[in-house]
Formats: sequence, structure tokens, C-alpha cells
Amino acid sequence: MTNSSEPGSEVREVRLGATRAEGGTREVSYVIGGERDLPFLGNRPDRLLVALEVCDDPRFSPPVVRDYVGDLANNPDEWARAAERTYGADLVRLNFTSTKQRRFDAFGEIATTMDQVLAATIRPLIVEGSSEPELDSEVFRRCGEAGEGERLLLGTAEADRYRSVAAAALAYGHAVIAQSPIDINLAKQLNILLRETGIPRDRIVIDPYTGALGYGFEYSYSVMERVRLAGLAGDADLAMPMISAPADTLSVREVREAAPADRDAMAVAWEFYTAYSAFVAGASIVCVRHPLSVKKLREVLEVNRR
Amino acid sequence: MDTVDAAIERGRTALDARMRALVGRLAYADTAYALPVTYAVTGIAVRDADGAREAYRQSGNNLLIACECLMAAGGGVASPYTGFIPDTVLRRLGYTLVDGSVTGLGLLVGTPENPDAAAAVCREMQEKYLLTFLAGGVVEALSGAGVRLGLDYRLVPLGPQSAHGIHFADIIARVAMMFGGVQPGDVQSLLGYAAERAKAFVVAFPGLTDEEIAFVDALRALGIPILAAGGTYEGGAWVPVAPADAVRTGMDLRGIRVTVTAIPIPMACSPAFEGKSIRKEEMYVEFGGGRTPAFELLRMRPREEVKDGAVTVLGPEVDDIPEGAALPLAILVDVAGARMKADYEPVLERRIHTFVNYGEGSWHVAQRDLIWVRLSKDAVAKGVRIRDIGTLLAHKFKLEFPEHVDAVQVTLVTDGQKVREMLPEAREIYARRDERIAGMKDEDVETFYSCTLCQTFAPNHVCVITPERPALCGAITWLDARIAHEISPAGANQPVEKGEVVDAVLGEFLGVNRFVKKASRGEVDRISLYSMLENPMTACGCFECIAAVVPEVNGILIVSRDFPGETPLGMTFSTLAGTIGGGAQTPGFVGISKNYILSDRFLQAENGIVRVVWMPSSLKEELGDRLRAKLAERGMPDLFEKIADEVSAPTIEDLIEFLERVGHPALGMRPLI
Repeated sequence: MTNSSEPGSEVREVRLGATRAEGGTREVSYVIGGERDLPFLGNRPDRLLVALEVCDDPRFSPPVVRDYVGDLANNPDEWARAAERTYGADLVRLNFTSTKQRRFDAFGEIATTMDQVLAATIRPLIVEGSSEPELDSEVFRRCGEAGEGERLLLGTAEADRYRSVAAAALAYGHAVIAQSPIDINLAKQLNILLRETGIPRDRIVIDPYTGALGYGFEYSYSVMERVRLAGLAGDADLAMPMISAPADTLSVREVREAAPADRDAMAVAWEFYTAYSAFVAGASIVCVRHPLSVKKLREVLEVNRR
Repeated sequence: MDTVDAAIERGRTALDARMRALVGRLAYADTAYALPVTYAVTGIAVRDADGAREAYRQSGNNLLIACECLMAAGGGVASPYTGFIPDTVLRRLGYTLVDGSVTGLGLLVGTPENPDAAAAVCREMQEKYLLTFLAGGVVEALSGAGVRLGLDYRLVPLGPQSAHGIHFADIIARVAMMFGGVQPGDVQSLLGYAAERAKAFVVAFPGLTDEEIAFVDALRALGIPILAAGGTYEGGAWVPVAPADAVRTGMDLRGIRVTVTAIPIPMACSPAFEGKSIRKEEMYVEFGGGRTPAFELLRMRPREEVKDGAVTVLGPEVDDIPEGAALPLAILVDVAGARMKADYEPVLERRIHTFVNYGEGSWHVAQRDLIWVRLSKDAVAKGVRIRDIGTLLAHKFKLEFPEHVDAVQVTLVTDGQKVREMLPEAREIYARRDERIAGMKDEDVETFYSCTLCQTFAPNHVCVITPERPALCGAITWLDARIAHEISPAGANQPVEKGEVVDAVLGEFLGVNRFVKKASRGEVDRISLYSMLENPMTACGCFECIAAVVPEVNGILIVSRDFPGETPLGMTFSTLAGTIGGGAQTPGFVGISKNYILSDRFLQAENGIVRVVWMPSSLKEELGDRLRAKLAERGMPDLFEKIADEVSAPTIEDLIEFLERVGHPALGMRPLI
């Protein structure tokens, strides 16, 4: 299964972000994927990335994160700047949580926030657009348009709602997060559907969906492992790098009910171990929400690089 | 009155003459695609009149190119007309087309005799999520009728003359190049994109000049039908319609459909819930599963007999029964569709299983008259009723098969008397479906089909379906799988090239092995289609029957899902199922469909039907005459009576005694193990 000498049996490379020379405004761009082996078996841990979530509406951010970042939460651009410069994230994952409000219609704000966050950051950007299917069309168009040329990683495409994300990626040159509900066949089918809309394979990143450690993470682990094995065994529709966003980890009971003094530590522990396990399972990018998790993940990746 | 064909000829002559006289520079503002139609068709970025003539010549005098070049030579248009639409705006329009918020494109040209009728056309276009462009007198007529125009209203006034409709063509050309990866000069892929992705039609009102008629007619090359609304155009390939029918006709001709995504039921519905089961303690009500009669049947009906979206429950609802009850159930799904075929019925019917499992509080196993359905207590507490299963199915079929299903109605019968009355008819239909495949042989085809529908439950299981070996669930024959692949080319049924024969008796093929290895993600290297001992096929858990070796008598027993008792092996169906399911290869055991028992290829590596020593009486009875006929054909008319059942041989000791008494041939055959 892991015979990597077979031609074509490698995870496809996906380029994220665009420098000025590449038509964007980022100071760096990243290439993820390219592995010919299982995770941490002589591949390139230097390609593994840690993303920190920034929400445009902090009410939908977990309390433990809100309390930690304080006033930053009210300014997504400042929060994003801190994510890169203070907390050391490889990239920001801008989550338009405002779209979770009932009767959201502030579409103009989406473009404004996009512009501000792009101006405040120097690294590639992940953008989670709409949270509601009926908003998809308006929201993704604005995200895509505001980020034209920046080669964003745009999320999230799902089997029954991928057209708007795909259209935005096609129209404005971005890559797409393709999420399936812990199901390798649906992951593959979605990738085929995306390809049929015209998205090339090297602009798709698989999100197999991730539960929290102790709350079903083993299912995600096993699917990620199988996606990677299938990709290495030559299945081109599964040979994409993976992204993992264990967002549920900060709402598990152990974190919610932790004593105030221990809460940050508990949150970081839960998030760190889940995210790190996702790396071990084969993720190229992990997205976390607590700033201190970034530092811990970066440290452990440094150790692995040596 | 004049014919369209004559007008086209005069228009062509006039356009040719104007092309010859064309001078000066030609350009549109704010585009990277020069003159887009010309660029897309010829690959030439035209800048001046000479270039235009050269491109026109190279295209074989394509009138769209003449019209575009002539338009680019003229001046712009004043507000409210848009004239040529710049790339940035077009990118947004194309976006709505790709993301599905626009279902298709319409162009209205000419001057309607009745502005209100034209306004009604526009309103219908808006309601059906079509993006409509307007050129010519129709714009003023609509403004006069009080219709609000502009991009925000999805009614785009291109220009005061119908000739401005050429921008409709440059929009399609640019969308194809921007979104469809169509390379300039690649006419074939341009035409392909226009035909399949940019679904468009034209409604022509009266009053077009000869040149405009020639131009509009030239749009047909992009696969765009021309609907003549009003009686002034005759002949040609134009489709005459009453204005009131224009939109429906256009949508039908282009296969444009409007879909709704939210299902109005009080439970979540997503593939995320597909793998969950509802255990007895969690169950509020159940149907079938051996406790009550139950079946499902999907049938094609004429359009007028299907009331789209109608859901009817005949018999008790959840409110009428206590918790933990069992009700009979018939799930009757009637579908209609212009592209629906009766051949597709079993394939769509099999999806009832998937769709019901998508419901957070609903669960479904098996198929046909073996179904077993449950609703959970949680779901019922949240207000879920039996009716909601129907609503779920009605929506899902339209959503998942928009190309084939135009209307769906669902009837759920929970009245035991009625269900029992309907069962024989359903069984007849199942039998007819099974007959269609009868007579086809594995050697007649080069391609088998896979089924990986069950990989959600059994991740490495791959069913290989051949004409003589239906899927082990009994619900998908080779024909069904082929059709399923036609309907959904990226779906769970994929073609499997047989490839070179490794062993004709075992039914081992190189192509099949290659496929299974890939589809099982390396777990299974090789399978024998006709053997239960040498690399038998894996089993998911949906098998209708299990065949198992009985070493003591050198034979094979078959037990079906509906038999609750113990087999002579000392195990029940469910115990055996638990041992061999989940995608494993278990030599000595194999999951099979009932129809496979009657196949000439039935476990031929183990000598087939001659080895069968035991099956439950219900299965014997069901196979009855068909099995007798098969045995007679094989020269063993008396073998039927030599097969034991749970009455004649409940235990292994009884079985040995029975077989010796009747002189079953298996006793004297080469040892199986």
C-alpha cells in the first residue's frame, strides 16, 4: 500500500497565497502536499501549517478564546495581525461567523472585512465564507472578489452545497476546502463534483471533518488515514492534501466546566492533542482557535523537523 | 408574410456587404478577450477592420462574428442600456450561473405586440431564476409596462436595437473562457460548453430586420433554440410559441430546472446520519423487519398522474399508536419525468434506503419486500411523523435526480389490510424486473459493474455485479448498475473491465482483481466471483442470504434473512451475518442474493446447486418452481425434494440422517475442505 515508487502515487501539491510576483499581495506563499509517504515517515514536516481562527463576529467564538484575546475580538484585522505576528500562526483562518445571525444581510461588510484583513496580514489566508446555504451565493462572491489574485483557501464546499464556493474559486482564482462528513466515498464524490465544475485537482484541499479527541476523533483519524493511503495508492481523486479544523474541542464538557484558573490550559490541552493527532493522521493544515495552541503546535513541529 | 429562411439569406447578403465596407479600429472597453465571440471561435484578437475580415473568413463566414465586428465598430449606447458588459461585471454574472443561483440565460429580442404579455414572460423568467437579457423594442415596451429593469432585477437591457443582442453571445463566449477553461480558437469545446453549461434560449418578438433575423438565427449554432413569440416568423428552425408558453418551452428544450434545497421536516437530513442505527430501546415505531408486512416500490407514472410533492399516509400515524409499536408499511413512490425510463425504477428505488437513512431519526435496512424501517423516540418527540418520511423522499428524489425526475408523489400505507393487498402486485413487479436480466450471460459482456453503496457501513466492501450474479442485496442487477452509472457517472456503480481470465471456473478475472484492489483501498487483492472457498467476495451486511459450507455432509446450506431460527450449523442468520459482514473475505461463507441461487454460475467452483443440502422452507417455497425448473434443466429433477429444511432437519445430526436417507449427491462428491 505504501509503495511510493509507483508513478503518480503522491499527494498533489496545492499552492496557497500569492506574492506580488505571483499576482497577489502576500509576502510569502505556501505549497502543501507533495508527500509520497505516510505522515512523519521521512516526508516534509516543514510543509505542515498551523492556522488560527479569527471571527468577524466574536459572539460566535468560544468564551475561552474571547476572554483570552480581549479587545482584539472586536477588530478582526487587529486580531488577524496578532495571529500572525504575536501568536505565530502560519496563516489566518478568517471565519465569517456574522453569517450565523438570523436574517444576515450585511453583505457590504463582508467585502470591507476582507479588505481590512488582507491589508493587516502578510501570509496566505483561509476564508470560511457563509454559514447558511441561502447566503452562499452572495457571501462567497464577495469573499472571492475581494480576494481576487490572492489565491485564498476558500471554504467550505459540501456535497449538497459546493456550487457557490466553486464558482468563486473559478471566477477569482482560489483554492477550495472540500468537506465531507467523515466518509471517504463522499470525499471522493465531492472532489469529482468539484472537478466537473472546472476546479482543477491542484486547487482542492480535503476536509474529512474532525470531532474532538475523546468525542469521536478516532473516526476522523481512520478516515484521514484511509484518504492518505488511497491517494498514495494512486487514487487521484483522493490524492489531495487535507485540512483539519477540530472546532468542537473548545466546547467539550471538560473545557466548559473547567475551573476558571485551569480553563486556558484545559482548552489548549484539548485542542493541541486533537490537532496534533490530526497532523499524525495526515493533515497538512490544522486550524485551531486558542492562540496558545498555535505556539505549542509550532514547538512540536520544530522538534519533528530536527 | 415572409419566411425566416428568405430573411436570413437577405440578412446574410447585407451583413456580407457591410463587412466588406468595414473600416477603422474595432474594440470593446474593459475586457481581456478582445471581441469575445471572434476570439473564442477563431483565436484571433481582432483590432481592426482587416483583422475582422480575416477572422470572418477563417470562421467560414460565421454571422455571429460579422455582427460582433460590426457592433464593435459602432459607438456605445446610453443609459439605461448597458451595451457591452465589462469583464468585472461579467465575472459576477458568470459566477451566478456557475453557482446555480441563475438556472439559465434568456434573450428577448424584437418588439412585443402586447407589452403586458412580455412583462409576464419577464416575471416568469425571474421566478424561475433565469437571467434575462433584452435587446430592441422590447426594452421600451417593458419600461412602458412598468417593469423595472437592471442587473438587480435580472433583466438586463443590452441596447435599443435587437442587433445589440450580439452581446448575449459575447457573454456566453466569455463565460466559457473564464469559467469553462475553453481556449480561444477551440470551437468544439466552446460549443460543448454552450450546449451543456450555459443553458440559454431566445424569445423573438415581431419586428426584426433581415439582418437581425440572420443574427438571431446564427445563435442556434451555440445550441440555443429560437422561440418565435407572435405569428410573424414562419419557417426556418424557429419554434413557434404563444408568449405565455415561451418560458416553459425554453426551459424544457434546454432542460433547465429549478431546485429547492431545504426539506421542510422537523429533523435534520444529511449523509452524516447515514451510518447511525436506531436500536430497539431508542425506537418509537418500526415497520417490517419480519414483524409486520412491509415493502417499497418506486414506479414511473405519466406526468398527469403525479401530483408533485404530494404525500399521503393511509392508515395509522404515529399519534395513533403506543411507543414501541410495529406497523405494516408500504412505501409507494411515483415519479414522472421527461427523461425517466422504466429501466431506472429499480435504481431509484434502491435510493429509498439511502435517503431514509439520511434522516437523523429514521433508519432503513434491506430492500423490496424485506425492508425494515424505524423512527426514533427522539425524532417523534421533536414532531417527526410517518408522513415526514414521505416528504423527505419526495424532496430527495427531485434534488438528487433533477435530470430524470420532474415530479414525485409518495404514499405511505400503514394499514395492514391494504399493505397485504398490495404485496402480490409489488412482488410481480420485482419478478418482472428480475426477468429482464434473465438470459444474459457473463460471457456476453466485457464489463461488469461495481457497487460501493455500502462502504459507509463496510468501508472495504466492493460488490462486483455481473449478469449472472446480482448484487448480494438482491436489489441491483447488472442492468440496474449499468443504468445507475448512466444516471450518476461519479456514483457508487462503476464499470469494471473484466480483463484477462485467470480461472474461468472460479470466476477470477485480472480486471476485476485490479478494480477490487483499488476500490477496497488495497484490502482485497483478488476475488473469485463463482466460489465461496477460494477468495470469495466480501460481504457488507445487506445480503439476502448466506451460503455456508457444512463440512460434516460435504455440502452447502443457505439461510435467508427472514428465517429466525437456528440452522444445522447451530447459528442463526444474524449470528452468521455478524461473523461474515463488514467487508471481510470469509472462505466457507458468502453473502448472496436469492436470484444468484438460480444462476448457472452459482458457486460453480464448488459444483453449484448440487451441493445445496439445506435451506429454510420459506426460501424453498419462494424459489419453488423456478428452482425446480433449474434443477430439471441440470438433469436432477428430484433434487428439490432432497434439500432439507428446518422441519426435516433442524440439527446437524438430523441433517446427516436426512441426506443419507434421501441419497443426496453431495455425500458422494469430492470433499469441499
